[in-house]
This record gives sequence, C-alpha cells and structure tokens, in this order.
Amino acid sequence: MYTEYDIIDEFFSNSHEAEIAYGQNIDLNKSYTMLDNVRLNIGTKVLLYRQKNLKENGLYIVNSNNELVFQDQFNDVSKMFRYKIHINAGSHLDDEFHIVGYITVN
Amino acid sequence: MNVPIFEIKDSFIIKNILNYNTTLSGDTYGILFTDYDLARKTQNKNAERFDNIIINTDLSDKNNFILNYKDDNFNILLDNEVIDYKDCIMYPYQIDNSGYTFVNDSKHQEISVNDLSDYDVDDYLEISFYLEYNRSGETTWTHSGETGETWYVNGFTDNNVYWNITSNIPNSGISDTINSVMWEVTGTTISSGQTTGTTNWEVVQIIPILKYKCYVIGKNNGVYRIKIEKKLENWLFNNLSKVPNLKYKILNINKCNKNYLDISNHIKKSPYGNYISCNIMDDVLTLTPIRNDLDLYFDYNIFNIDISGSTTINYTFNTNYLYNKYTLELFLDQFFSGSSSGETIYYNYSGETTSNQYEINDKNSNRFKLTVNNIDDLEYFKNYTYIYITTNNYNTYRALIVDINEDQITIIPPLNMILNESIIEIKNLYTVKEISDVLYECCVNINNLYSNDYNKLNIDLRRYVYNSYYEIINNLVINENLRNELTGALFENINNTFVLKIYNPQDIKDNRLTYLPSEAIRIGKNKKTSFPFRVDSIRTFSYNVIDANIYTSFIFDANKDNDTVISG
Repeated sequence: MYTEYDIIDEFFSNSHEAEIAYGQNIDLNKSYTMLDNVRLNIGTKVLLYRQKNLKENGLYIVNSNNELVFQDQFNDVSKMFRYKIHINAGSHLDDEFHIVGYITVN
Repeated sequence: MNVPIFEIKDSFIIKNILNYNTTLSGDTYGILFTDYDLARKTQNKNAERFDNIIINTDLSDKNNFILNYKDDNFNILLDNEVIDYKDCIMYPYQIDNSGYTFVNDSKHQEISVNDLSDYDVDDYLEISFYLEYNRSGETTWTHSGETGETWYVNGFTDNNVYWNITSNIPNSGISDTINSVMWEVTGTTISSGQTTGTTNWEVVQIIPILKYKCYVIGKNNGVYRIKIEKKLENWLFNNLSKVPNLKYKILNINKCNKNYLDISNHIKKSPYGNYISCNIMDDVLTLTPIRNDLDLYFDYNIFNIDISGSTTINYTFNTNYLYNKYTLELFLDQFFSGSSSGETIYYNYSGETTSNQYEINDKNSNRFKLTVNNIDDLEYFKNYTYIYITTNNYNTYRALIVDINEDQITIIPPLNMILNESIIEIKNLYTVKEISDVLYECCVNINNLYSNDYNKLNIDLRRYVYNSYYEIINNLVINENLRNELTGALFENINNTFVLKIYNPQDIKDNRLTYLPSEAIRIGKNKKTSFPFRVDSIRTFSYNVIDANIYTSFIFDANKDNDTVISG
C-alpha cells in the first residue's frame, strides 16, 4: 500500500548535499579559500545560483588548487526531475534548493 | 546547454481530503467500480435519492398487489377481505371444544383462528395481545331547536382514563373508534322546541400488551390452529398465559380489501414497512422511499411492485443518481453514446478442452477441473473471471475460474449443470453487458435469481471477481482508450483495503473531483518529518498535483513562515 514513507522516498529520489550555496557572482578563474564565511577544502561542494553567466549556475566541487570545478549534471533534462540540494553550512544552512525549471542556452 | 533555475523551498507532504461530488450536476461520472455494492456504499444518501411511486390504477379487476425485492415476493391478495380475527381469549379458555387457543411448542407456536382458509403458509401476521374493559353510563340531554338538529353531550368517565368508543351508541351517531378521556354522544332531535331525554353511553378501554409479527409455517387442521414461527420465548409465553382475560387478535397482512387505504396499511405492516412510507390522497397511493437506519443500502433500484389481474402493471423507484443504481453497463453507457452493451472489454477468445464427466462428487465439492487442449490458450483466461463452458451435449453455462495450474483450469461449476456432462470448450465473457450482468449477480448473490447457472459465492470469492475485472479494465491494452475517459477506479484489494486509483491527476478534467488540503508535514533533512499541522483553516490556496500519485507539492514562503503563505 502506498504510504507517506513511499512518498518521501520518491520525493527525495534525486536529493543531494552541498556545503555552500552562494548567491553573488564570482569569477570562476580565481581560487577561493572561503565563501559565505565557510572555509573551502578539497571536495567542498558549492552551489552557485546567481551567476551573471547563466551557464555557470550549478554545482561545483573544490579541487586541490581551491578552484571551483563545474559538475555538468544536467545534459539530460530528466536528471532535473525532483532535483534538490540541501545546504549544510553558511548563510543558507539547512536551506533546500529545488530546481523549478530550466532554460536552454547556446 | 540546459541551465537549471533554483529556488529555495521547504518540502511538505500535504494530506488532502478527496471529495467526489456525485450530485446531479450534469457532468459525466468518472469513478469506475466493479463492486456494485461498494458503489452504493460510497453514497451518503440512498432512499432520499429515489423518486416516489404514484399509483392510481383502477383496482376493480386486480387480484394481487405484490412487493418484489430480490427473491422475495410479498403478495397482498386483494380479495375484499381483511382478515382481522380479534377478541379471542388466550389460555386458559378453550374454544370449540378443540383445545387451547394458544399453544407453545419447542420449535413453533400455534394459535387458534376461526377459519383456517384465511391463512396460507408464509402469510405474514400481526398478532396483538391486549386487555379490554367496558364501561357504560347514562346521561340526560337537553336541546332547543328545530326538528332534525343535532344535539351533542359529552363527559368524563368516572376513572378519567383513555377509552376507545367502539360501538354504535343508541340514538347517537358514534360509530368510529375514538381515543379520548371522555365519552361523547350525539343525536338528532325529533321535534321542534326544547326537548330532553336520556341516552346511554358505552366505552371500551383497550390496554395494549404486546404486538409482534411472524410468518405462518403450517396448519393444525384438527384443532383450527395455525402454526406460526416461535417468536415468543417460553418465559414470555408463560407470563402472558397467566394474565386473566388476555385477548389476542390476528391481522393477516397478506389479505386485503381492494382499496388503497387498506393496501397502504398493509404495506406499512409488511416487511417493507420500514423502507417505504405511504400516503393516500384522493384515492391516489403515493409510495416514498424512507431512510432505514438499520439497512441504509436497501436497493430501491430493484424493488418493484406488480399489481396483477386481467392485466399487470409494474411500478419501480427511479433515480438519476448513477452510483445509487450502479452497474458497469450504466456507467460505461456514458462513454459509448448510451449503448455500451456490445463493446468488447476483454479477450473474445475460446479454446477446446477435455474433462471427466461431471459427477455428484464434483457437485458436492463445488469444484470441477478441465484441461485445455492447447496450453497457449491459458494466457487468454484469468483467475476469478467467468467463462462460458460448452458441454458434450452442447449445453452452455457460465462458470467461475478459481484456479489455473499448468494445463488445468478449476471452475466453480454452474448450479444447473447436468450430471455426466463433460466440457469440450470454454470461452470468455468479453462484452460490457455480459460482464456487467454477472457482476450484478455477484452483488445480489442469490442462486437462480436472474439465471439458472449462477452459483452463490462467499464474500472473499466475490471480492476476487471484482478485482479481476478491475484489473482487466485497468491493465489491458484494449481498454486504453476507455481508461483515458475515466477519472479513476475505486476497489477493495485483497488486503481489504480500499484503493482509489486516479488515472491522471495532473490533468483534472473531472469537475466532480476536488482535493481539500487538510494536514501538512514538513520534510526536513535526512527525510525526517515534523509534527503534522492543519492547513485547511489557514487560508485558501492553490496547489498542483505533481505526479501520478495523489500528493501535492507546495512552496512555503521562507520569509513568511509563520504566516504560511503557500503558492502553487
């Protein structure tokens, strides 16, 4: 029988975690040691959601040079279905970001 | 490149109260049932939704007024006689030197009557026990007026109790039974001027003791007693028999005068008296369905009345509320221009078979096995669906498949299958009418009522049948277009859980279906949930159904969390 636990499982079937969600435009050619008052380490996940270049919005992982490396997750649109990412630090601590739509740019 | 648009949201599960409006709005009804009883029980009104029956036919050439319900035919014989045998004195008095008037037996009871021919086995009786006391007196009257004027005198009886005036009083016009604490007499003056005289009054006090109904189960011809169902317990019978001068009267509810007033009174006392109210006006009998709290889902759709004689007139209760009279055929008529009966909703498939001869052991076990000649045929047959079986004598019956194993099919044999026949062919019931009719028989579930082959099933088997036909409609490719027309289906699954399958909640085209959000649970990190809170009383808001399951997603404005602004 279908229960609310099934609903939760389905709802969270495309759920992710990140340390930081950053809402100001940054230069991706630079290295960063801290964003949103959170220190960046290798593997720290950062969600950028207000880049001026829309193509740069998305999830990044910090490399050994403290650069943000883009994770190209959405070539397949179906991967956006129920995509949500939970933020574990910074000013967006415990916020959840959901994908509510997309635009296609060349 | 696909660029996602992010928003900050909290996640909630919203529990909705789902409502399906079944009023007569004119819209198509979209919820399908294969369990007709369940369809009726989803309705919170039954009797109130059926129209009255109005009867004003001339009864002079009519002999019977018959109330038909399922396999019961309650026949009120219109022979111009009300069998109302009264003023009989119960034990220890004897009548006709033939024994006691009321006899107790271990399995039945017997009661004396004056004419055995007034009673038949299965007649329904109302038996009343009462005490009767007489009181009389004399009053002096004075009246001034012209000849022929009416005088009127009344007064209280000396003990000031209620009395029934039951007899014609000398020199008075009283003839009916009147409940009153007082006696009253009237008369007509025989000369002008002031006249006086004395008049006797007489009243009878009736004290009801007990009234009950029972069926006649036989006759004891030698002693003029009828045998009746044992409704009085021994202790009660013994107590009654000790009451001095206790009287009884018997009303035979199956015998009646040819007038609507008496018929009305008999209907009220019949087994259907709690389901129908009767009203007489200008010799027109109006029957109105009434709610019976002890039997809310009485099927008025199949209740009907025959008034028979030189011609027979049939009356039925009608309703336009589909789910109060639901059948699959009626439901599907909505999508097939009013004529769905010949539409195919299952495989039109037949296969050759062999079997042993049908023997008495098979009949007693209520199971019979047959073997398909081509095992590939089995994919076209399904457990708990009905098939036609053709025998070596080319008789055709309907039978229910209850097991399919390897190349063997086990059936519940038809009730009227002839011994020593064997089965040479099976074929599916595949049209709407065939399936609708057999589902209706399962719902009513009485042997031989609508067809000679229906074999009564227990509730579990019937539920399996309902579910099988639901699965046929729900799963088969040939029913895809039909499913596109439906809003959903409601059924009881094998775990006795009611399931509502909504076919396309994202595209709600059925205005009868509404969701009313009632309770929300916040889903937090690691899928943990908060305590549920009510949302229905906060404010009206819009929402979306977001996938094939019945749940909704809301956005709560994080900046107005306490105010709980919700947008779709």
